[in-house]
Amino acid sequence: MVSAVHGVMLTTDVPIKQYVLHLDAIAPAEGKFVIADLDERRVLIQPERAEQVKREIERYQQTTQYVAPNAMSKQ
Amino acid sequence: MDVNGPSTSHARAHPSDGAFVTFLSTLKDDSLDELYESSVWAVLAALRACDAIGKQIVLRLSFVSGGSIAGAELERWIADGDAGRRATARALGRLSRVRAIERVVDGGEAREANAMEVDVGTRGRDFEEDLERGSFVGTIRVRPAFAAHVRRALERGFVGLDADGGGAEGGDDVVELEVEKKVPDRATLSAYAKSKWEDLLLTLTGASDAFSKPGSKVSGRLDAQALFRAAGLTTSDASGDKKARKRNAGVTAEGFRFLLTTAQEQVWVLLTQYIRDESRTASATSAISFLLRLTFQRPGRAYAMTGVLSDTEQDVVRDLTHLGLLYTFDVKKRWYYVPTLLSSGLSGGFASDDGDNRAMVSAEGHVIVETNYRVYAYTSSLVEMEILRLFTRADYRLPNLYVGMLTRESVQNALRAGVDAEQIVAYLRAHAHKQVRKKKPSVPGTVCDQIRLWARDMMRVRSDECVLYCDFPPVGGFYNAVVAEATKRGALLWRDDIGRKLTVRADAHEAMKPVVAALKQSLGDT
Repeated sequence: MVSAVHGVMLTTDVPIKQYVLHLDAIAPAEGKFVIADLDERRVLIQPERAEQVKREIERYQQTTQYVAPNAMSKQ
Repeated sequence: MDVNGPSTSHARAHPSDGAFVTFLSTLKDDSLDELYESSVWAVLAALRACDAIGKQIVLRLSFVSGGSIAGAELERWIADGDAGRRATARALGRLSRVRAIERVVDGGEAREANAMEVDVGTRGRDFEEDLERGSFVGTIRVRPAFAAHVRRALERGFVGLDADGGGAEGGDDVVELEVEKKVPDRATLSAYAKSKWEDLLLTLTGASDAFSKPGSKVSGRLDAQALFRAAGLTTSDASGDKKARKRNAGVTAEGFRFLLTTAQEQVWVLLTQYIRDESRTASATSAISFLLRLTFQRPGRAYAMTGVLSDTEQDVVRDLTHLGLLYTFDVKKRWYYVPTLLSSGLSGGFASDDGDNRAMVSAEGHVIVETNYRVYAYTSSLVEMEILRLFTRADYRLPNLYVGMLTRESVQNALRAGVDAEQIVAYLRAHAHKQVRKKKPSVPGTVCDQIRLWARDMMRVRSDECVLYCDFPPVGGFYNAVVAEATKRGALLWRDDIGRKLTVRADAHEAMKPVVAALKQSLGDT
């Protein structure tokens, strides 16, 4: 029997996809959002969680960046 | 005269066209023909705005009797190779968008008549279709009025083309001497133009009121804020509540892009809008042809106004003075205007093809970008600082120096506001300080690449609303039939032949449902 599942397909690079899986893994049971792991660059997630996941990825990317501080300002 | 609304202009606009060609192609057919008929300057400006191949075609055909050439013949001018053919098709497309050439298909004007009925938006698109078909069909003809003006201009050596000759009138030596004395020198003039234009841009960003308050520093019948709004550079609430106005509030994505383009493009964007407003009055043709004549007049030279220009033209002069494109003064109650550098590049067309504007930019380069992403700008101009602030983190500001840092955050903020990475790079290059200009890449390659990478970083995750079809029977043609159906509808996003899964766009799911059911009936159960 063929089934149809609605969702949002995230297409991204390998590391980010792994990070998405990681987010799903550390989420509590009721907060899981990954529906299907499609291939190494794609993952199907619940549509209503898509924005939140994208924000999460954005935040993560920001933490991996080095920004040279402004000498004047106290960081 | 009527000018089409923005919607039609977009239909015909072509991404590779400069602001000037785009502007011409927004004019209605008969208005444009009338313009070419009446003004040699319009013809020359259109010609100037074409690329080298386009110029060649027009110049060659202008001297051919009848001004026409068979498409097959034209084909022989093209050097072998697809690149040449593409460039020619592009040039032809552009020429027909500005209505410099037309195509006559065997059987007279039949094609023309048809084209009119279809849609003005298709003007010039034929040639790109030709490219796909592999040959140029029909006969290509330079419009007679266009060709006549080109011939006349060439034969007269570009002088005395106007009935009145233009320029400060001779005859009265004393007056002439006095006029001569009143003309500001080049440096003063360009400083004047620059400061006017900067006030204007600052008004756009909301950092200055110079142009918006009536009776303030500058006054005129031209409302710059309204002009910005009409051009879609700001939204209407920008000028409303003073207190609510934050930095850059109300500036649209279009507005940010506008800030980063060259002064020449900026002038045209505003002028197009100005003319569109003006076109409600009956005199737009004369206003446009005057504008175009202006672009051929020498900056720094005085031209008489009183008694020479019509009332419409005098109004235009006043508005342009307001914008800093012209400088006006009077000698014994006779008014004169002097074009500034801003107006000289107006119809220069191709940035790559034209020296005027580049020369103007290079004179005022002030930005140094180091490999460590630090940006130094030797400028005291508020506008330039404002622009840099768009995409750099402001670190220090000294009286004549701005120091900032290109950071991921600052660049991405700019990208989110609607600027694109290439524009940032182009801006840094165009405004490179003359010392760093001597080095080969004036902006370090690593920095340019990083800006592009930051831009790509924002597109790292792509998300598509979709429906996943899975659990197909492990054998049989059902899966393949569904894949084929989805592909045919352009709805297929992803497929996995081994796992027998596919995703289709969510909006195509409703249409796919019955099809899948039908396929299941015929194939699924076997």
